[in-house]
Amino acid sequence: MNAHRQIIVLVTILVITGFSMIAYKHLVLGFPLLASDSETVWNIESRLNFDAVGGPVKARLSLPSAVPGAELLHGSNVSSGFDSGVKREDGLNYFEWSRDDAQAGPQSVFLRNEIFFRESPSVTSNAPTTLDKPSLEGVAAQVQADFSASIKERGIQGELIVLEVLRELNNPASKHLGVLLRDNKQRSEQLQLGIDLLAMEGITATMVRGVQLVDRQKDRTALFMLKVWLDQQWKLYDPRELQHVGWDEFIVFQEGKNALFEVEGAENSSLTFSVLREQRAAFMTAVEDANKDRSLLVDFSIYSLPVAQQSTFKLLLLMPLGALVVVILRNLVGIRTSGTFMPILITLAFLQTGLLIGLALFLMVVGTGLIVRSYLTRLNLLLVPRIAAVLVVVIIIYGAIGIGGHKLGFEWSLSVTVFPMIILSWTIERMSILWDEEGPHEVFIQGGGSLLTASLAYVLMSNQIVADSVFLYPEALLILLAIIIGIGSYSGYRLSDLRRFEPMERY
Amino acid sequence: MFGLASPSRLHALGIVGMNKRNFVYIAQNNPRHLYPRVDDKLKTKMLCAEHDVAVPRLMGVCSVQRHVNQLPEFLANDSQFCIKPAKGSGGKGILVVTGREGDNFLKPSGAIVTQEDVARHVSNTLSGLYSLGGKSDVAVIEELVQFTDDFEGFSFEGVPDVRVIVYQGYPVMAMTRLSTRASDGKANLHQGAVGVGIDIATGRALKAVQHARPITEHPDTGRTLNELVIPRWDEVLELAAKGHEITELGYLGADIVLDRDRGPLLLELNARPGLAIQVANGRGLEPRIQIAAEQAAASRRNVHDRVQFAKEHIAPL
Repeated sequence: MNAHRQIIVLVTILVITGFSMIAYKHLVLGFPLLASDSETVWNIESRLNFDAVGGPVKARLSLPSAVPGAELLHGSNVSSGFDSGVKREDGLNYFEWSRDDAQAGPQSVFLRNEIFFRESPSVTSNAPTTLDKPSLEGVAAQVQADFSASIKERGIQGELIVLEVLRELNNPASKHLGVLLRDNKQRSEQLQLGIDLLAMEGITATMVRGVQLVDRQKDRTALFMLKVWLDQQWKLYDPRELQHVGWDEFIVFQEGKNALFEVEGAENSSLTFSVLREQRAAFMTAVEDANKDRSLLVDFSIYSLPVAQQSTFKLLLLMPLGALVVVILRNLVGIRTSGTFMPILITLAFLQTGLLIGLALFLMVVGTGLIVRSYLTRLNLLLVPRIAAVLVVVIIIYGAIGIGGHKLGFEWSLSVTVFPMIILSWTIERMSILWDEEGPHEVFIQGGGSLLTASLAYVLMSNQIVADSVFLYPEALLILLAIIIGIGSYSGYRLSDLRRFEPMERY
Repeated sequence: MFGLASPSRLHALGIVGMNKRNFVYIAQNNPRHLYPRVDDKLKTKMLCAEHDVAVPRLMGVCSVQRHVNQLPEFLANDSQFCIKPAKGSGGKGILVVTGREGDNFLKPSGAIVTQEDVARHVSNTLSGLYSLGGKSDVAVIEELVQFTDDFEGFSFEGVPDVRVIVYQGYPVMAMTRLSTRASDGKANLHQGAVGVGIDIATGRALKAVQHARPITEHPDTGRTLNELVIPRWDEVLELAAKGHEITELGYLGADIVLDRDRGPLLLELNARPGLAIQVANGRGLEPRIQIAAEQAAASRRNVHDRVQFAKEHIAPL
């Protein structure tokens, strides 16, 4: 079989396979055709700080519990030197860090959680069976009786009782609770008081601690909430704000009298949370559903990887799109670029800086580099030392742009560091040689061609719908491969040929 | 339309585009392992010597640093020579010496080149300053070509060379490049040198283009370009056609200069010749390559017969 026939067969097979896999995933597994909807994902970072006294340290943090309709992932924990993992004890899940030889001094361990809600959650499980009425004595009994009487008098019921209790708790001058609040200064003690009051009214409540889902919170301590059984479901009430809090607004780390966190072998321990909101494509639901059916296509796919690796692959899957842009622009349009795939690497930098800032930074670095390189030409250095010298100069330029921009208040200039410096050094070197051999005209053509290619690839690769769709249908890469192979065997005219040989028509 | 030619029109004219050149002509005719035969000028020279092909005479080769010290002694009786990097590209690192003043040499411009300058130049060449990718290289010292006067007035500075495209041993198209003031004395069409298509049958100028636009006179000297005739044309063609035997490359460009005394000399061979030659000729390569391919497949001819066939049957296409 000759090469041409092989190419036709190969391309056909690739296209058919690719399309049928996509069709199967869409029609049978119910994947959406385009990943255009997005859902909210909360990133919670718990940070446990303590001063180790030296020697063995063991720290444990109560793990958050997922409510129905929510998906909770225990992600990467960045805590060097510690053995860590999920432990289960007395029916409760802990995340535990341990180390035998902790150095004395302040230390921190981290746990990252991701949570997203597929539907508005409601919690009806674990309904309270019996209600133990607490036996109150002395002042407390008196206060309770007064309070109960005032509620009956005003005829309030249900949620309003809860809010009334919380209002009393927040009022140090309360005529009912004032005395007790002065004796019980701690928040947990005060809340226990409220729980007792509610119990006497026939309402079951417990104390929970956790973190509120509000975007861009940093270093917050754990908050108390009251979990109350009302209307045949558990509800959360914020004792400070005196309001009902939805289950999708708060993550419970610890419930009742269990410890939120414990640290052995250290002192001054404290726990803080940081919360970040993220919009993410909504196709994960489809993926999960397919996963449950153990579909082979999904089981042996990118989705079976841990989340962190999935996001790496998400970027990798975009690279072929960049390659396709390069192939089209070079072989069908006939644009000359400096270095074949250099534009893709520039695009990767653009993806982090944004297009306009990226272009500005690229021109600054390469422009300055070319000026310095033109001086190096006069020194007649050998190739490798010369490029090494250019590399050093490029790094000095990075520093100058970063520091100079920072001083002038342009924070974006710091992103110059994402540019691949070795590639930029080679680009400067190559363009400089080109300048000597072919003149500035050719440098502008190739430099402009590279930037045009990088910009077009950026437009394609930065598009969220495109990125998510490729992630959703990695099979599309087979079709992409077919297109690239097809172009590779295309021997017709390029657009640039049509321009170049245009005078021939008039002969 | 929009300054673009219509693809069907170009196809009818038999114009070869970049993809066709790369994917069909180069990829199918020039196996990679043969490239060193043309990319290394020293290797080309050795092969030329084996095949009895006229080239500028090789005076010597500096391949190790030790040779650099022996240079003054070696060049003691020479006043005209040129030193080239064997793997150089784009004319970089070529030192031309046309005269002598005591121990010092003179460049064509009259600038003085000391013995130390020559030693440094060769030393740089050896360490790869001028070679592709900075690989270590050797310096080739060869006799200076005594350019013929036949091109007087056709070129601004520089001396024209003849480029012949050879397909499977058949010369299919030729042109000469004339440097201009705009091209800074370089024979580079991109930079504004004039390309003159040469009739394969006669060696006479067909038409001339500068910046891909037809012209009739040299922009600097004012000479009418269609008066240009390449002398000893048959020898030029045969020299070019021999390039196929030397390199075994199916698609190549041969650069030939004319020496006043020795006649046509093969200067360089190129495994990836450009396509601008089509514009200079006002013809497409495709039909000519096709007939050459058919002939090569049908019968084996010697160099002389191939050239005669080309003059008779390929030239009119």
